[in-house]
Amino acid sequence: MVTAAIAYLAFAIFVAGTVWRVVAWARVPVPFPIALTCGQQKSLDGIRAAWLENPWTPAGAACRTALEALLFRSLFRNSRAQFLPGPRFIYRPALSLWAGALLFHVCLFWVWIGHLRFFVDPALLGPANRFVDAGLLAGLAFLFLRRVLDPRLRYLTLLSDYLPLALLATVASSGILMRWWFHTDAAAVKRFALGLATFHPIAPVGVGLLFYVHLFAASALVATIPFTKLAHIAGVFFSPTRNLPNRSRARRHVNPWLAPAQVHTYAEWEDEFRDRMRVAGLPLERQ
Amino acid sequence: MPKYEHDGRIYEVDEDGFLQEPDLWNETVARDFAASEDVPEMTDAHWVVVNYLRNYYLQFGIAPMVRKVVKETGFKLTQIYELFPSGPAKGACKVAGLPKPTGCV
Amino acid sequence: MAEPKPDELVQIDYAPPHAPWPGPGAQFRKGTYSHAGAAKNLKYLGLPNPRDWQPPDADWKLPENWREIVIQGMRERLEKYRSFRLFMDICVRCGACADKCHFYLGTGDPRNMPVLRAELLRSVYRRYFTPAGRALGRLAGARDLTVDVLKEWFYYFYQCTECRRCSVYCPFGIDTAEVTMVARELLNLVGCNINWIVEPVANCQRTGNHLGIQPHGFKDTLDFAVDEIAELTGIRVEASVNRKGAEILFVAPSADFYGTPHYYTLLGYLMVLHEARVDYTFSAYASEGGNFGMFVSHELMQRLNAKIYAEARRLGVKWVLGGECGHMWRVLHQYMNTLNGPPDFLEPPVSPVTGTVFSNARSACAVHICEFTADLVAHGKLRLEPARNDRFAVTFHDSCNTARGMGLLEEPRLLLRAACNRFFEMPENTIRERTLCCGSGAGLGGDENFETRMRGGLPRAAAVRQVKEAHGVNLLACICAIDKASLPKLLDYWVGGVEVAGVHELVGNALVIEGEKPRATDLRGEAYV
Repeated sequence: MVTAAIAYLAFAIFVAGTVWRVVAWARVPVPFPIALTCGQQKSLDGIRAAWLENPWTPAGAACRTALEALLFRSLFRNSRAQFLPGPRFIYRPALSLWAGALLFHVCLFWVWIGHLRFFVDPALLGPANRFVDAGLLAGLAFLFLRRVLDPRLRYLTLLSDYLPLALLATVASSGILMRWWFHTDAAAVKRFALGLATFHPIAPVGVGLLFYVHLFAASALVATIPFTKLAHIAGVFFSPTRNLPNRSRARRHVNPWLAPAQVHTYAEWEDEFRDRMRVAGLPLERQ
Repeated sequence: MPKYEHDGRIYEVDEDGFLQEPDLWNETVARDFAASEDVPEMTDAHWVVVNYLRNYYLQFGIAPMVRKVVKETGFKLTQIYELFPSGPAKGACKVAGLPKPTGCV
Repeated sequence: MAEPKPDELVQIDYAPPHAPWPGPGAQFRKGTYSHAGAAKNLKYLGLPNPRDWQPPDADWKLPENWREIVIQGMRERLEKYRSFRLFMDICVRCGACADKCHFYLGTGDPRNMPVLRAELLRSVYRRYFTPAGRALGRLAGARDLTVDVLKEWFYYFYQCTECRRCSVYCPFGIDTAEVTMVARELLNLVGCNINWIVEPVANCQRTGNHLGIQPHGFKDTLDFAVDEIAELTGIRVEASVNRKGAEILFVAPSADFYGTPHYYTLLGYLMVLHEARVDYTFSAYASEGGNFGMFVSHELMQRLNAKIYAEARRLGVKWVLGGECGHMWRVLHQYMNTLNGPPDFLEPPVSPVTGTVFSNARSACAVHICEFTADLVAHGKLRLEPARNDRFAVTFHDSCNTARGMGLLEEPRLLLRAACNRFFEMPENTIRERTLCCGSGAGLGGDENFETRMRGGLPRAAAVRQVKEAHGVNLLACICAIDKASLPKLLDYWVGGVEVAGVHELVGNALVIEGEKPRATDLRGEAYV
């Protein structure tokens, strides 16, 4: 029963934390339309505008955000600068981060979907295959090794960046060990999972130590999502540089907290310069 | 507040060595500041530029644009640089006791 | 002060220090930082804590409760800007931004990596605003706000030009310009700012423009320009000031009325607007399109920007046309309508020459001169002789703000292709949305931070050198007043033999005005070939 309680607790923290986090973002206004434009604006008829990289409709902006969230569009632009005598810089395409990150995220998502078979009866989907598992491990290894081996990455990495990697590695490796080498009774796991899902929790029976490692690490991971950088999963959809259309001159964006400006008025200005303006023959409001 | 001293006379200047109070300017001040600008001696040509700058400043409250200095003093830009090695906007303005222009210039 | 030589500055060490971040605080070495804002300017603007101080001073004469002021200021801004709050929370430190910053590329200083620039603020955010940071401190990447941290903020947030290049590459769209703008607002709450910003702002508040050109001086300059065009072409163009009833109010960055080579761009505007028979007026009250207020706070940006719509209303014009300037267009495009609109007294802009409706500007009623002139050229309304620019092999430098805060990419290129026979692009990683900053934007164009500017501009200069070597490029065209001020010096320093000009200067050179006499020289007074 303790096991079930921990799983519930983690899930509750995740849900409450995510709601808190998302509400915290959502209730802060977006005061200015600060779209970051990566292509030609829509202006003259003869000039082709970039509807996706510089969208002027909300639908275009939604597509741009989706491309960012699903295919990591911006990482696909990545390059690595090299400084040469001359002085000269060359910028080589650097797609390893894009490929590695995509591999990791896709495999993780796939494996996660595969877990639904434990919670739905009858299972609609089979588990992820060995290639996906290998991809997940390779992706994780890549994300870890680049932080350790690249001196620049090592310098900018905080201790707290290793925590999610460690949890993910624990979850993934224990899961893979159970699946391919130290088989755990899948039916028992399913009974436990269905119990959780139907709010009739039962204690897991006949599962090994690895299962507990897997479940507790996964619980810790899920519970920390809202409170760490893992919040980027939700945050990417909120980013105003990406999700706003670039149409600020065509349609006014309203700022809810704005107060009128304390302007140095024309009258005050003319008062200071009136004599000199008169001599210069400039028009005056008051003589 | 930084100070600039020449021949025993002390002036309050800004961080770039420009005279803080342009109203305190006179010909002695010009000669003193010329020494800080690699101008060993104030010749007639120097005075033509400095007096033009000074008069423009008194009328308009700002240094004239470089193009105008060139046209109205009759010196080419290269000649002005020969007179004032750090140029019309910096060296010449400093000697003429004008504040330094700021902004996108 | 002896300026460092280029071969000294290219000794860049990109290896990060052995000691872990954050390491020692900022080092205020001469040539790398800007002078402090002068007390008289802060007083004039009503900004907090005016005093005599300079960044290398040990005692910054901060208010006694400065920490509370800054933390409270942070709390308020976390409630006002979703961008700020979000960007404090979601960075995963993937490092994609690291080598996208021109200041990092030019200095090798790891704290110029955008991720660590933001981390300066983020570490304090965690300490005071997140449960993990409060509880775990350093372990969670949090740190106390101390005087040394504040000094680091000052050094590195006045070593960011808000160019937004890093944001192009960020998978979450984290925009360091947003972080820097908030950081500078916080620094300003306790009176920490630089004079190259607050003096133009004070000038602009009083006289209407950054340079402090007074109305009679403004008219004098325009009269001078009109005379010069008459000498060159035999045509007297009209340049009215504060004229009521004109159809269009024209607003340009004030450097166009003052600086070199900006002034030649002004001649170009005057010639194009004359040839197109546009009924327009300048304003001496709204004589600044640029907005250094943006580099202090959103509030000051609003105060300075308000003059444009106010003047458009007073003069009774139908819409606003704006000159060549980078951050001016960030403000006019993305802020003005929100800050000081809606301008319901104006009309959706229509070109009086071609009848084109600028529907992309129908609400803010402000059109960029490159949009306007490109429309004229596209409709064949201007006769251009590109051979007049044949002594130039031209390249184009996209300014950060029009590229990444607007998307004005093709309009200036259309003009250059029409006005010049020899036009060459720089490498693709250095133009359009990936354009590299001049290194002097966002108010960092002073003389005292010369080394930082030259370092920050190095990647841009290196790209110019490439097209100079490949195609003999000897002129860089741009549409930004800060570029026109900073790039001549930068290119002299790193490249040599490349001049800088506004796009409208080249259009003015090529433009055949009806009834003009044969021109002896170009706008600079130089022989055509």
